[in-house]
Amino acid sequence: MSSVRIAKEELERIIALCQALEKTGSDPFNLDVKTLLNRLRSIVEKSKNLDIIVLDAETLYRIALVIALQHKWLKDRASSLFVDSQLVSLKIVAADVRELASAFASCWRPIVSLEQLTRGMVSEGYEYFLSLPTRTAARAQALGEGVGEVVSAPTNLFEERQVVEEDLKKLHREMLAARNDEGYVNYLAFLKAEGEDKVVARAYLTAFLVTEGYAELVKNPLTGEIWLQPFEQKQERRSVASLVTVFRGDGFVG
Amino acid sequence: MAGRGDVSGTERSNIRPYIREVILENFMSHEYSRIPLQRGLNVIVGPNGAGKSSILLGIAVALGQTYTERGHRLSDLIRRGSEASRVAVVFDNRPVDGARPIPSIQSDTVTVARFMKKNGDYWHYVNNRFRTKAEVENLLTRIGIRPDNMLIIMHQNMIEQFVTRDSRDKLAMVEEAVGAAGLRERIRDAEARLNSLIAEEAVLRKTLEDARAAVDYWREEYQKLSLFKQLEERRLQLEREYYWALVREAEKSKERIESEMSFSLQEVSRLTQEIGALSERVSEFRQNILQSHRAGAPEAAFTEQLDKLLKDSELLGRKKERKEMHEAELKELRYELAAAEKELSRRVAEASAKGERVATNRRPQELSDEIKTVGLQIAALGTPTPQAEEMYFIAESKFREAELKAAQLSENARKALEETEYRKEKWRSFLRELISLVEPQYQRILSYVGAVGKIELHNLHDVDKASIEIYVGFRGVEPQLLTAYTQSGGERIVATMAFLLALQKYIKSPFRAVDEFDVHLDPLNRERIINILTTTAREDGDVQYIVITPGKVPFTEEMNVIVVQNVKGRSTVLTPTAAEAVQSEQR
Repeated sequence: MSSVRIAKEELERIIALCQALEKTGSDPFNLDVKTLLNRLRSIVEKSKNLDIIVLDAETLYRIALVIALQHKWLKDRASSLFVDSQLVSLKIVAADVRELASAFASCWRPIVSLEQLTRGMVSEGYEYFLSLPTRTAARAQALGEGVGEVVSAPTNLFEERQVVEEDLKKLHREMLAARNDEGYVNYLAFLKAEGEDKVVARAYLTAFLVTEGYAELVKNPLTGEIWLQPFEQKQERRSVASLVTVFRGDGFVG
Repeated sequence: MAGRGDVSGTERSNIRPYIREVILENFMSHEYSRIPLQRGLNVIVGPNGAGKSSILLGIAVALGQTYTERGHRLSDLIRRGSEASRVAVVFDNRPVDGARPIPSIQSDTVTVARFMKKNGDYWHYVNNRFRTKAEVENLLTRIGIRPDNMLIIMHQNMIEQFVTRDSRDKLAMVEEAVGAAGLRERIRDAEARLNSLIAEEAVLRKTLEDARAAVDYWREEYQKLSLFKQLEERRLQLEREYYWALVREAEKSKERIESEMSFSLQEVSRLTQEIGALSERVSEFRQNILQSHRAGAPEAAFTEQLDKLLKDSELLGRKKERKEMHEAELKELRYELAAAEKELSRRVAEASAKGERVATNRRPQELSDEIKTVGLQIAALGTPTPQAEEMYFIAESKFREAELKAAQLSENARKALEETEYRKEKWRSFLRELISLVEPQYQRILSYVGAVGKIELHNLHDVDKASIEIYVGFRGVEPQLLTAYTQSGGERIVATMAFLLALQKYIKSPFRAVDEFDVHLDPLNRERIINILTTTAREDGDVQYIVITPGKVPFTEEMNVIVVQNVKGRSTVLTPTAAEAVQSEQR
């Protein structure tokens, strides 16, 4: 058998060894890489045959893959010392409350931040609003005063809510009473029932009643007229759609 | 440099396979054609559009070529009106000196066939057995055939394409053609892999540091557990000592009572004796007084006797009182002793439950205080993990192993990287050697057409940027870089053919094919190139050359000329050397 053939067979054997290691997933450190590299060098140093040189490069590449496997194996092994599930569970069990709280706090990464409209923020907005030039100074002043009162009044939130609920019930009763023979109430007329100043406030509350299902808002697409259809009881809806009504300084826009 | 066998990597040059026959069925203009070929030079001639190039294309497609010049979709190569096509290349695999050219297949012929359908499906057969494309590629690669390499199969206009190719691509093609495709690629792959591993060493170090932190954690836990155990042990010892100290206390108490009882008993005994003696004396004095009285003894004597009687009577009374006191005390002490014995018995039982008797001189209170201190120390330790010892030893051994292997890994990666450097040098030597052999051939061939040239290798220090540059100069002009703009069309073809022919000896593939090499060549240069081709083919008798030309070729005996022409829209193949006209319709 020629020396080329022998060298070729030896290289093929080393390649097969590396591939087997890769496939079986056994400890890659079982392969003595250093010895293999020395053997490889001695083969390629002796040979000038291109087939052998090419096969030697292939073998070297396979050995490099084994070294990469060694790297991965080592990384996994080292990681298992601190990311092993059993170890983590033991650490959690062993940790005292203070340590657990500290770990939790250091791990906590809020992904959502929520801002609440505070009285302070409203106050800030109110100041900004007052600083703006207005078209109708008297109205702005009047509105400003109202807001100012609300902002500065030290009200109880729970009481505020109770007041809103009362207002809603009152408005609902009023709406039911205002029904025509067909059971409808003209939206705009209803909003204006307490005067122009209260239109937006009533529209705001009406929106709650409509959204909650105590009334339906129907808009005639041809005339643009909007009608309210109040219900005695809350109605369940299968699907909902949004309807927008717009109010500006001069009143209802559409 | 070693001989040809070394550079080409083929020691068995005399047993190269060759294409014995090409079969085209419903392929382009061929309805059914069988084209017999032979070793040496095969020249395919015929008018334009006759179907000459289809033969070369058929060979390329059958051998798995992905790129096709005429039809970018394989289904376009199917003859119009047909649903499917078959192309087959039959290799001669008869044994030479007992060895077959394709040793993995034990038959005299190896037929590599490809079937194609209009819907784009295709599949391969080798000796009538289904094979995947990868299997076919693997088989052909082993005998040096890479149909996509334009230095092996050069379709129409590919000479132009070769010239316009980037010099790095040219070098890659040369390497592939001589059978060294894997050399640079694998060195590069190995180097990239090893460099990335070395670059990742920092990450691995960090991982090991984290692992060390885990080991430290377990060490602390283990130390805590050890201390906990020591303190627990100490507490148990103290408790045992405490209980036996209580026993000792009870014993002392009992001993004291017993001692007091003994004293009282002695006193009672002594007093009893004294009382007896006094009683006798009192009785004696009484008798004496009576006798004196009866005898009318003088008053002085009588008085003396009476004083003695009174004195002893008083003493007797006191003794009797003391005896009574001691007897009362004894009674009390007996109760106390019974209670002490009961207490002692209870304490002994309690202490025995804690362990064997320990000698101690310490007071129970003192011990109790120490037990409390130890208890506080234990409480301060919290609840150590019971598995801490086991976990620490496992983690420690794993970490030690990981540390050792990390050092081993680093050494391995560095050593392997050094080895890639050696391989790079080997690759550079190989290329320099190859070019040193090809260049004189190239210059010799060019000299036939009155031209000069040179071949240069560039950027060999960088495996990615290494390139080959071919220079040629005609009519006494200094060699210029072969590009699509510097030379004329004919000059480009002459230079490329010269390079191709110079490289022939080192090309690993058992056959080479070139289509319409002579386009743009003037008659003189055409004849010269054909002569060089004929000579080269004659010199390399074991190599198969397939040349396609629409022009006339001076016929020689060694030549296998295949004439292709159209008949009623079909290609007909004629082989004058075999004196046989094979017409597709007749088949």
